[in-house]
Amino acid sequence: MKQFILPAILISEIIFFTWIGDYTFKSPEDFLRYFQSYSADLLTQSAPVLLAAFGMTLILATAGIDLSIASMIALISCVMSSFDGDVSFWWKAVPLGLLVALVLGLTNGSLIAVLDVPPIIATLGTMILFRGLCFTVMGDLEKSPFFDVPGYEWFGRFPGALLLISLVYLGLGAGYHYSRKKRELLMIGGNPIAARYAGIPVDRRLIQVYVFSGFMAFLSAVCFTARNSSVSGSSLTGMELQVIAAVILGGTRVQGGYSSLSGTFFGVFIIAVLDEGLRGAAGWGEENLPFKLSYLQYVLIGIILIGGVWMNTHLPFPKKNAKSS
Amino acid sequence: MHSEFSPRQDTDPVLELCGISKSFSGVSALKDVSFSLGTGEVLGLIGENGAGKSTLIKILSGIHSSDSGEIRYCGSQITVSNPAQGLRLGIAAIHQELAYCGSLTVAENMMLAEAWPRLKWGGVDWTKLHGQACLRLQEFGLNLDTQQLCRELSAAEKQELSIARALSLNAKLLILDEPTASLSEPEIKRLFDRLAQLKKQGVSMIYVSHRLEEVLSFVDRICVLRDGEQVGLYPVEEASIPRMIRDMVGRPLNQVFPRTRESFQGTELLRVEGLGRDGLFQDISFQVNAGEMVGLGGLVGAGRSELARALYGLYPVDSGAIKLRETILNSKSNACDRLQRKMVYVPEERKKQSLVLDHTLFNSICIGFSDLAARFGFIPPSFEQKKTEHCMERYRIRATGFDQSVGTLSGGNQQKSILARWLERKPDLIILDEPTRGVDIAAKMEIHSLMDQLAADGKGILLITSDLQELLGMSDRILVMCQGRITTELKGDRMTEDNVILAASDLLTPSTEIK
Amino acid sequence: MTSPWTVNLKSRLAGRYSRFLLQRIGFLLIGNAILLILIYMMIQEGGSFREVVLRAGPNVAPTVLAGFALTVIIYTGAIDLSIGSIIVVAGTVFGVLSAQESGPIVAFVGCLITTCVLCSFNGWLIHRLAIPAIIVTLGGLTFYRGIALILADIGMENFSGFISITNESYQWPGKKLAGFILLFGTLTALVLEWYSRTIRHFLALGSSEEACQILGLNPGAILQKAFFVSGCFLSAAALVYVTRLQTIEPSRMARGFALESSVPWWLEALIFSEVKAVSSERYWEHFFFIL
Repeated sequence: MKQFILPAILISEIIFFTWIGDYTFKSPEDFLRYFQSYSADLLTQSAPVLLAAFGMTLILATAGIDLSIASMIALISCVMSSFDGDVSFWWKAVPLGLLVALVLGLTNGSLIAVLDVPPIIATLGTMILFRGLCFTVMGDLEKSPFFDVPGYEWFGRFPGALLLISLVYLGLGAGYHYSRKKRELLMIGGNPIAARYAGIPVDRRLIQVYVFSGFMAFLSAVCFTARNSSVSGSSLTGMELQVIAAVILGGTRVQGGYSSLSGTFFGVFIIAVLDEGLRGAAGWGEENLPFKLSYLQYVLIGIILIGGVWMNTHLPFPKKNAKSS
Repeated sequence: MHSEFSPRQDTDPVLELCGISKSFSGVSALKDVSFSLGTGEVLGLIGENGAGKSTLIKILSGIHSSDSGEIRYCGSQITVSNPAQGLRLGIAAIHQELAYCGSLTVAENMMLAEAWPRLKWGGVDWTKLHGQACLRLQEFGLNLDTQQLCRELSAAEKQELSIARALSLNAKLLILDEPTASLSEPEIKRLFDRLAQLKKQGVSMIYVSHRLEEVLSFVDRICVLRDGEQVGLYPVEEASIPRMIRDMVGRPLNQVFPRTRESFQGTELLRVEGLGRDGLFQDISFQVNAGEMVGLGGLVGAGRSELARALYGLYPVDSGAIKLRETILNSKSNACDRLQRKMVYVPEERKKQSLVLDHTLFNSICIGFSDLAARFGFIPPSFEQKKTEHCMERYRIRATGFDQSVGTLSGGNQQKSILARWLERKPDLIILDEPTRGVDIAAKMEIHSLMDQLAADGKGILLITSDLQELLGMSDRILVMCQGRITTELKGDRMTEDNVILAASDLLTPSTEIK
Repeated sequence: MTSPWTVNLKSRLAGRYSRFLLQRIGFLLIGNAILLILIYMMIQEGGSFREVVLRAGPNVAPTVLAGFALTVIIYTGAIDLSIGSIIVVAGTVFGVLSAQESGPIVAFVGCLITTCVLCSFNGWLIHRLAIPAIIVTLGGLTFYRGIALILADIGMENFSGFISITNESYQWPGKKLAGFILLFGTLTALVLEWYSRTIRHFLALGSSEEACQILGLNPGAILQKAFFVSGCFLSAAALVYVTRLQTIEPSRMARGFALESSVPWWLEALIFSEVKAVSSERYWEHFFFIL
């Protein structure tokens, strides 16, 4: 029962905005075409957030948090953008971007695991640090070499984004559910002391998780630059909250110990549909509301976040784990 | 002790319970419990874990409310809707889970819910506050620095503090749930002296304990609960330990410590030479052989658990060497490495050190051994399924299913699931730290025979326990620790209760030794 | 002979803070002093030292006061990420009132009450919904900003993203009184920390909710009280913050304010490992502003 809440919210959102957006479909093909372009748009639009959110899900499972994710993606994009936009981009910029991503992830991971800095403080620090590095790399410029790279744009379009997302989703899902990793991470999140007593190499696992999140940030940067083509030092500010909000909305617990990858998937799309839908419904807003509809977006995201989490934790659906003794 | 203060049944009852029932989401926790309690009377409430003792206490102190039934207190019917109201009525409780606020000082904790002395302008008068708290502590014979933060106290001090607070409230009815769980002998004696004093003053008490000798020596009447039902209510004169156990378990248990194995000494598994860590333990040397159960006794705080954790690689050591079978473990060897070398450690605090309370039983058990079956990092799901089923059966874990969260299991089943987690790795050396604390009698029996079986199979076991009976009954050899050192080794005839107690306080000399 | 007050002070200090902690606080004080001297030496050329310190008042006041507000909440084990957005709503209310020429006092009171009410509302929401504070206030972070924008759009004709404050009489708390408000706020915080039982209740709730309940306190009521007290501090912060601005821009102002004002706390938690002290808070704030 519980797992239907998020899809239900998503579907009702789509229906609501289609209704408000005043679309008329003359024929089934018409509807199909609309649906195709809509979902393609949605997927490419939210691919960077979604990829980053997968990494964040694992981090939240270990009761950590990564506030630096947006700065990290921006920094990777900035580094990649400082190369020429020709074929050499593939074997110069991309590997370097990957390397930077892994190093940034490792920085976060070692701060948290080795130096024992609480995640929120460590990543708050690196958030500011990475953003500073962005500006050192870029200055005040805005660069856009990406569209000149042959074949790169493909990642910003539907098939590329879809391929990347499904590969990650399936690979991650399989690796996560059919190995000890999931249990180990959740145990680290749920009770770090017990995890140590259970012989789990807690520090190593934490570093691995943050490095993995760095890798996801790299993929996310690829998707982002392939779609938006230009980056500047201040790209993506505030994206970290969007990512965290989506993951939490998906049912992952901030205190650690419980996580859901498919929940994250829906969480990202619920927010993306809202975003997209409100933009599409601006005309309706002009006529019917005393204020600009786009302002409502903030309010609704807040309500959906709180309401979604509340429904996830409190609705009296038959729970498997009801008290029985 | 009871003979000194005879129950005064002639006075009006302080508390009367009529048909109290309570159920949690459809599962009945208490069914139709009725008893009364006179002024200055002590009622011993016994039963296995999950029998409903804690629920009853929570109803009386206002944390839960009862579904049906009536509570009459001092002649009038009451409903206690929250603990604050209970305290106003004069019902004070000491709960099993220690209630204290770690970041407040001892004095603040003592006085938390009461009015505090004020300065003229309305600020808190700290001098007076600390004075009052100090006075109350001394009344109980406790010498604590009232300025100290509560989280810096030892477990025993925390418990004594919560006892002292409850006793200082001038309550008419005192409910004590396992007050002696983390206390050692002298502290227990002090507690009973104080309780006897209060009893003389006419305070009625409900006393809950797993330690049946304590119950027998202190209470006037005994009420036995089993599965939420009241199965017996009789004066202490008619009680005996076998009868109490029979009532609690529902069937007679003939032997408490099943010892079927022959003493047999195999090869040396663990040798520790001059192990020391600053401030925790010094100069520890001993060895454990295959097929041997070595008991490690001593007072709470003597450094036994710290030693165990160091052996398991959770703490670095300053000096000395640990040799596991043929290998000397170097400083790089951590808990993970010890596990690979077939050494496991079952820690003392289940909830803190072993379990994630809201994880499922399945996950909780699998975490121990699933890596043994991994193929390229992937684990066939059917393997875990089968193995867990096998565990549930072999270790007799009673649960509604794999998906039940471990936090909702009873203490005994939790402990059995932890044992299952580790024993399925087929370890050679097992360190058990308080394996039966807070576990009901039937489960305790099962754990004991399991331990016996393990030793008979040739495993080496290091048993740390504060339960003297268990220590004496299970071990082949007893090492006694005192203030971070192993002071005595007891074998054969010398393994007696008195010797262990004396050795624990470092008082065992040839002249004091009882043969 | 030492006066009773100093004895009290000594025993208080000895009680709440271990020696290690006292050393850290001492270190902080010295660190601040050194920083001030360094700055003094650097500034020699442009403007006098006195001027710089005086000018610092209005700039540092909102962060410090918001830091106090956050500290009260952190004591109870909760967190409020939405304080920046609450200040935005308060600023918008203030802006709209001032644009409608309703008089400075009305505008100030409007700003104060809005902050206090929204903060208390947060507390109520956390208590009623029984979901973690971090989620409620993360939602509040975007929610309140949206509310502010909508309020501005409804309240103003031709709202184009910002509200300008032209009338000098609307600005005296931020520009002239900031130092006094800061001083008053700090004194209140110190008195609360040292002489109030309520703060101890907040701490008690933070260390163990279950224990609070068992000992006969009402956790829900304490939580709401904490959010109210925090609202009072925050309203002072909001007042100073909004009245020193020439334009109020609901979509951009006070971004990251919660993080900024909690930075000292995070660092403190890092170094002091969990023990929290209002008294040292202030110095951290200062420390960071100057940095």
